[in-house]
Amino acid sequence: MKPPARTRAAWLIAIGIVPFIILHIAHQLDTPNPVLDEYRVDTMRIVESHSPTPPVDAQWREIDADTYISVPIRRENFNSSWIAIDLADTPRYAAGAALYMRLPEANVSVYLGSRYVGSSGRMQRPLPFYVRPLHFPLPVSTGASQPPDTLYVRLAREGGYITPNDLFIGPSDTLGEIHRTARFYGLWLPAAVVTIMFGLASSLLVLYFVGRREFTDYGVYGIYGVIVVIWSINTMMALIDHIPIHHWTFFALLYLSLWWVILSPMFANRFFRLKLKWLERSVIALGLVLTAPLVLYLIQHDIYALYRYYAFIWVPFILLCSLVVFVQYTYASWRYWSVESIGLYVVGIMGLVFGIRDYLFDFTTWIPGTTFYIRYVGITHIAFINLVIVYRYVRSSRDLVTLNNDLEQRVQQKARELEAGYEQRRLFERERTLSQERDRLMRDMHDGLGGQLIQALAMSEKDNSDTELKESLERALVDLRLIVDSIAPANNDLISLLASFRHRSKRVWERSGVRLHWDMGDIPATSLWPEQTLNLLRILQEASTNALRHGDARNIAISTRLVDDRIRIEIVDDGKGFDPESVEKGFGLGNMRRRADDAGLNLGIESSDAGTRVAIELPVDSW
Amino acid sequence: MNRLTVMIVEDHDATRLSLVAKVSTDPKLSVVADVGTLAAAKREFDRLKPDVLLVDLELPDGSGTELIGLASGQSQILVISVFGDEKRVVSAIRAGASGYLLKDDDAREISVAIHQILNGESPISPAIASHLIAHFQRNAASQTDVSLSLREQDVLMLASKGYTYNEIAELMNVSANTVGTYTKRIYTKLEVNSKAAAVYEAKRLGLMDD
Repeated sequence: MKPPARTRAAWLIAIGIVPFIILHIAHQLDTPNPVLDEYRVDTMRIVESHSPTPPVDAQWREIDADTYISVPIRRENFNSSWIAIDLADTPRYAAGAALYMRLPEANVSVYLGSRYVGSSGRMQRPLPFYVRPLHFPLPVSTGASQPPDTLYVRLAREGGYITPNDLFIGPSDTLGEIHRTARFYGLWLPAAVVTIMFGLASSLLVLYFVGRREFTDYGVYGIYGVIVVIWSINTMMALIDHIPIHHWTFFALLYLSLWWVILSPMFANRFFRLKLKWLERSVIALGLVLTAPLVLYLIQHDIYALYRYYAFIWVPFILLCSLVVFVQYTYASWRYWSVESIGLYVVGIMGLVFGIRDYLFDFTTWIPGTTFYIRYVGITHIAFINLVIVYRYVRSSRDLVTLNNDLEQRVQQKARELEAGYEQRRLFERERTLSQERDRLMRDMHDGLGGQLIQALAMSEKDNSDTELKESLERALVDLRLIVDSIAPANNDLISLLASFRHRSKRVWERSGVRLHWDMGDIPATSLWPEQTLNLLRILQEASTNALRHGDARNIAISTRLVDDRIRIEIVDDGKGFDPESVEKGFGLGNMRRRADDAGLNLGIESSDAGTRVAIELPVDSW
Repeated sequence: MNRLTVMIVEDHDATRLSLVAKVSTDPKLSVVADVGTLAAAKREFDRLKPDVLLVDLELPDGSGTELIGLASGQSQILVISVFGDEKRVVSAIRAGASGYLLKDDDAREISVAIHQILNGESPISPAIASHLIAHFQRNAASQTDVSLSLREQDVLMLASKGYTYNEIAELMNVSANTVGTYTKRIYTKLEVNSKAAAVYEAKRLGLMDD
């Protein structure tokens, strides 16, 4: 959970100081190699010239390493200057020496005397802003006794300024080592990283195209992929060596690929679901508006206007965009306080701080250090986002598995519920069938068998002599009613069954003069088949008849109870009892046992001279 | 003394005669007519307007329910039945009967039952009680029906478990008379609901004015 507002603010401010610390440390570390100091060329001569070979007889001008020379940007042609270094005055020149240029920012061509040593870039149509360290091993002067030649270095570029303090002459091994290190960290390493990023970005773009119809989230991958591709182009611009592109193309790519920053608010918006649509729209709209003059100048080949526009409008706007992104990341951190958002907040601050630092480094001399740092922020930013995206993907895969499991459980649950529902319906159907059967039987028997029996009974009553016949008919009628009761729906309830039994036998009970104690304890609902019910009723009938007729009982108690997992029906009387082993027919014990077996009921009979207990047990779910 | 008049409608001759004999044993009752068809029953009813009616529902020329409908304002009606099955009884009660008799009840039982309904009591069997519980539960949410009070529900529940009125009175800590009153009220609600339902239906079908 999020910590309180004050804590968050404190943390964000504390973290915000970190980039400044990093910058400071970087500036401490990013000093020109002190080793180089002793090889710096301190004095030299310069002349402006487009001559392809050293203009030996030109009007040279003396300068030293601290002179700041600004070369105006030409509209029609490019700038070309020759620098002459008198090796005789250079203490470090010896056999096996080399020229090392740290960051010439120009297309370079080197001559020792009149001998061509090497070049980098193009002299005819110079590649603009060509920033990379150069190392030229110098051949031994011709003629051992001849004085060393003059070293001529041509710098061709669109314009800008020349850094005379950037030339070093010393042992080829040492300088070569320094050069290789500088190239590795300045060029190859970023190039490798950029290539990897490019690959990742492409895969993300593929992901976007594949999944965009199903997942609205995937838009963020598309934007991110585009951003990284453009960023890669931008970074790659620094690494161009021999790719023959038109320099206006180069400019266009270099400047326009800064659009990756302009698109970043859109990315940040979606990445953190900030829903600040108006923000991303206004940034992009402004970007489009400001791109128009840029395109115009590019088409017009107006390098002067272009450069000024770049310096005063375009780059500040890019910085503004990175400020916007930074604000978004800060807002996201404030809201979510997650590793993702705070991480990007750090990167955002670094981007802002380093971006401003690089801007000042590029256009002023106030900033120490030797190189641009923003490149590393870009790499960090994109690497971090890559990590986050991969993590999110892994997490969503895991979530998917969890969701699947959850769904499966729910499906199983539903299946169980459905089954229970079917079971219920089955029961209901059965009850309905029984009910219909019973109704049918009753309709049939009401006038049929039942009515006839009653007729017979009525006729036998007229003639008072044959009481046996009358009783026989009465029993037959009770029996018929019991049978009909046995298929009575009555909730398939055992207690209802017993209640009906009592009601049917009412006359018998009353006539006997025995006191009946009725105790229907709570038992769960059961579901008995009609044959079970009938058997149970017959057992009850037999048991109660025994109690009433043979036992001389005063009291009979009929009860139901739940004992452990079984339902227990008891008929207890206080009569004189009988011996269950040696009893004769007339007690119907054999019948009772048989009926109990048939119905799957447990029958227990205990009898002593204190009374008799007949207990019927059935398990709770007896269907 | 003034004896209460009883009319018996039963199509099985021996049974009818037996009933007549049994009712006649009660000095307070006098059988004024015994018929075997619905038509004859209607005729005799119009002519005699008896206090008590014993009706078999299965008549050769129609259902006794028709007669119940005609007579219920005028007479106390007992349905006579072979099984006393609850569906038949309850629908008769909804039509206006006050109770039921089994065709093979003896004279004492018949006399008791008749006097009970004349007193306004309503006998109830376990099966009928169960049926009523289910019936009132089914219609619990209905707009037109009156529902049972908690005590009335208790009475029905205990009756459905087979307890007699006396036992119920003991279990509920009331007098046996009170229990009788409860059952009477239950029957009244049943009839009222039935009548209300009929009125509702009639209105719905446009047979009556609002």
